[in-house]
Amino acid sequence: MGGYLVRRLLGVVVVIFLLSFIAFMLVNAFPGSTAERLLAEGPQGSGITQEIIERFNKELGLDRPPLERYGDWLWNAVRGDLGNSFASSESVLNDIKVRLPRSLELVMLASVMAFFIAIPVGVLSAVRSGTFPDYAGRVFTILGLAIPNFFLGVLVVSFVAEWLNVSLATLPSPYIWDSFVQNLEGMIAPALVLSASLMATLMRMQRSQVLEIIHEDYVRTARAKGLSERSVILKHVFRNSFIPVLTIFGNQFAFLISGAVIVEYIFRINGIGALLVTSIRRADFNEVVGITVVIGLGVVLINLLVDLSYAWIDPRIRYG
Amino acid sequence: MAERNYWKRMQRKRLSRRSLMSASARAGVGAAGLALVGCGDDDDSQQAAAQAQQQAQPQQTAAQQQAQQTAAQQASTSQEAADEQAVTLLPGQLTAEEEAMSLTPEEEWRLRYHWSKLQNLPGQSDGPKYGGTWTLAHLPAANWNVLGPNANLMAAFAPMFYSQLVVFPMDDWANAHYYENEGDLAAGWEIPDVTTLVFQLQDGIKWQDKAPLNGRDMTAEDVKIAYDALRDGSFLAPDSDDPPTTVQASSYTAVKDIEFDNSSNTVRFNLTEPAAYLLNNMMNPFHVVAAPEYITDDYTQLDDWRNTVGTGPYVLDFVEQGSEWKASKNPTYFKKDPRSGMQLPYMDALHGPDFVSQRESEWAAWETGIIDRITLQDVYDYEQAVEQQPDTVVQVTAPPPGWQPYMTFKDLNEAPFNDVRVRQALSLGMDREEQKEGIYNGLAAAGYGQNWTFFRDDSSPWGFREWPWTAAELGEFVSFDPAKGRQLLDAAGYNEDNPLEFDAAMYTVPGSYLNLFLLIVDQWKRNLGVNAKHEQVDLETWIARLVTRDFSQALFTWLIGAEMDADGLSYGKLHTDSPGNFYGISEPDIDQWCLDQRQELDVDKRSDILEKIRVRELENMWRIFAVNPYRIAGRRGYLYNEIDTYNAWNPGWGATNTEKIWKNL
Repeated sequence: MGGYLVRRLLGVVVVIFLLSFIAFMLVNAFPGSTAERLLAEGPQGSGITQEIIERFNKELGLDRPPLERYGDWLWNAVRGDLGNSFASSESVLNDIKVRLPRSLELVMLASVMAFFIAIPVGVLSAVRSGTFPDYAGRVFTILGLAIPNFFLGVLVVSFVAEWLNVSLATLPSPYIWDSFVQNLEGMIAPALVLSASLMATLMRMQRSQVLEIIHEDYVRTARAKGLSERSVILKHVFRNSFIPVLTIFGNQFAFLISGAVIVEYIFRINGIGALLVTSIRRADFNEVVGITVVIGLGVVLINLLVDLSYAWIDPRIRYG
Repeated sequence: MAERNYWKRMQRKRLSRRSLMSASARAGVGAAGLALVGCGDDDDSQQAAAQAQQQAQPQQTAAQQQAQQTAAQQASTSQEAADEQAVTLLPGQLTAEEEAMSLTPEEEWRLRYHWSKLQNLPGQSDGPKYGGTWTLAHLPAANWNVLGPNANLMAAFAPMFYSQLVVFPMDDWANAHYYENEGDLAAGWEIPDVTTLVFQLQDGIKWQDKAPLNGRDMTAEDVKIAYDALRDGSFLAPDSDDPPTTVQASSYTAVKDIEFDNSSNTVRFNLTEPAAYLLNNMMNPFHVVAAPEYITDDYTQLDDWRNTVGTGPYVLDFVEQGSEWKASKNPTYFKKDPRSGMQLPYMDALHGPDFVSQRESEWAAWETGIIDRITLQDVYDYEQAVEQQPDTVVQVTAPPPGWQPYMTFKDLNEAPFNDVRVRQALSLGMDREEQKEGIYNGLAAAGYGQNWTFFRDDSSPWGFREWPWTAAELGEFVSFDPAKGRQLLDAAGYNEDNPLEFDAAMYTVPGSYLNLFLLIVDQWKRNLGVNAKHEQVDLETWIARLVTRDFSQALFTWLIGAEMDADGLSYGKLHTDSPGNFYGISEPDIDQWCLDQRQELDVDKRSDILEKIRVRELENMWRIFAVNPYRIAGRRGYLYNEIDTYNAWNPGWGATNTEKIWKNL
């Protein structure tokens, strides 16, 4: 277990290094510099000349070779300094600190919602196969998988404004520790939108797993022993059906985080996803690479935790 | 348009055309009066007006001073008509005569939603009133430095928090159809000779109560330091061999030095040559007085919004990048509304939630009453806005001359575009009527890149053009004449056997501009047999492509530069040595005329020079203009003085006016 953990952690370091390098080079490949892209934010253009753009690029060090700049960035990053935003001059680390709680909350809320809705519904759908709850669950599954969350988000914002006269994108979004109720008011809708796809995936997986296991010999044996149906489902079916679902959950988490980027943007949640979108528009190297590294770190650590949790769920699993 | 019933929602009152004209005249006199009283700050408006008139009298160099006088004269002769107009037209209404006229959609929109009707809004006479929050969809500035490389982007904010020596007056009575200069920090100014400008500062101006200024008095020296920083980067980095160049610097090339006298509270600009453009350029919303504590210490501290400290009407309290910004009333603000005599600002607070490009979220905010204004892209947006908020007040504005679709060439010295016949042919092959109708539902004007409001028009109440030129006024090469275009191409060596082909870069974002550019390419193919292969450019960099000349042969763009004076669009864009000449235009006559107009202080003579430039450019077609779509601004019916002219196409350029906005709830 210890050796496995060390190897995986070393893998995390390599992944993050490669991720930062690729992100840095990709941003570098964007057409136009930060100065040029900032021009697109205003119609004025007054007084902007090539000389001023070049000066701005020089001040930001963008006239140096990318590898040299990446080296500097990496050296500072390992010492805990992710640099400053090119556009706002704010510390990237500080920007992330301010925004990360909202992003984490959104993703966790979406995960919890997906988990606690999808698993029971998936089980119910399998146990009541061929009945109305099953059909309803399957219709939801297809819709959840088919509708991309950016589109769903726009629909929700537009129709809630039309029907309920509520502008979801301008609800106050204080931190959860500042105002629990107001925070949830602002977070529920985006979390639901974000969770839709994951919910559908988990529901589908859970249903198929239960359907498969429910016909296993040991389930038949359990029933033959006289156990109640509830006990059979919960103790024998559900637990054994859960490992593949958990694997899917871990894999889907990365999609959840990437989905959060666009959902934050639509619902105006000031998380790192929305900042990432804005920073990409501005070719803001430090912000983009810093946020990418943080998100990447989150994804690989979650995957590691999921892998480690297998042994807890199924004691037969051993790490070599 | 008729089948869409645009007008049926609108209540109609019918008055004579004479009444309408008198309304315009009254608006003209109002505007002129505002300019005259703008330099005063006491409660006695008549006294202030007289005093200000006296102070402003020597200011004959301000390009539109004469226009104000013309407007005033005309208005006085139509006093009878003005009196008759006790009942006035509301936005959306036409007189019976106008209803009976055969108007083009363009003319009808302009008449129905003319700015002069904003003065008649219900509830207007109740106010102004204090209190409330003005909420608008507004992207927070990426960087708040009013002296930095992107200071021009601060035009959207700077006048809310900072002050300037002069501003352009804007409210429901004074849309900036022509330029006036109103004192801001300046109580008045004198021009003792053509190379000297002396500003008398208002008394009792205090910096906002934020560190490190902490509400101290503003001095004439502060103003000198700030304007030195604007005009010359060496003041920002005195020890540097390579000091920065501010984006404002090009407006102050004629300034030799600036002197101050704290005891008399005056600032003197000494010029090397007459500068007809100077006062107008100083009204640019990002030419503001920054705190000397930052300028002399480290001006890059101004990058941080927390260091936004000025003498403006609002104090910036909160910024969350990508989310929102908030500001509150400056309790020590020095200005009063010259029209009402009341202390400014009216609103308690400003709030700018950021929707970036999330138009659906912005619409949801409009529908639910969160935001007070919305920019309407076309007639369909107009319908949606009115449907969602029936009290929507609409204003149709002339499009800004500095921001309109056109095509420019990479190199005017290289084939095929070195041949004037090719350029002329391309213009003749454009069917601008088809562009207007097909893309903009008729709500567009023939495009051209000079500011029409500086050109004489004797039929206008204020003597200058109110609306853009028609295609017929823009010369023979702006007409649609494909046969002549083919002849010119043939003469230049391009025909069916040897068709003209070139690469035309355009941006890829779906919308009216892309549709327009694609239509033009199609028109050239259909009408002239020209193959323009379009090369796609992403939205984020296509403005920079123009500035850095990063395209292969031709570029469809829309940015010229929102300039505050005719100089910016003539010298600034056409003179060989101007860094803003992105087009490679170099023509001795044009160069000379551009220099001449800079120093010509007589308004009529300057207008004549500008006319020569206009004619010469249109003969040469160095840039080919398509059509320029009008903009429709929508605001809630309870909001006043929130106007949208070409100076204020986005909330940015209207930031100057924020202090006068009020709500009647």
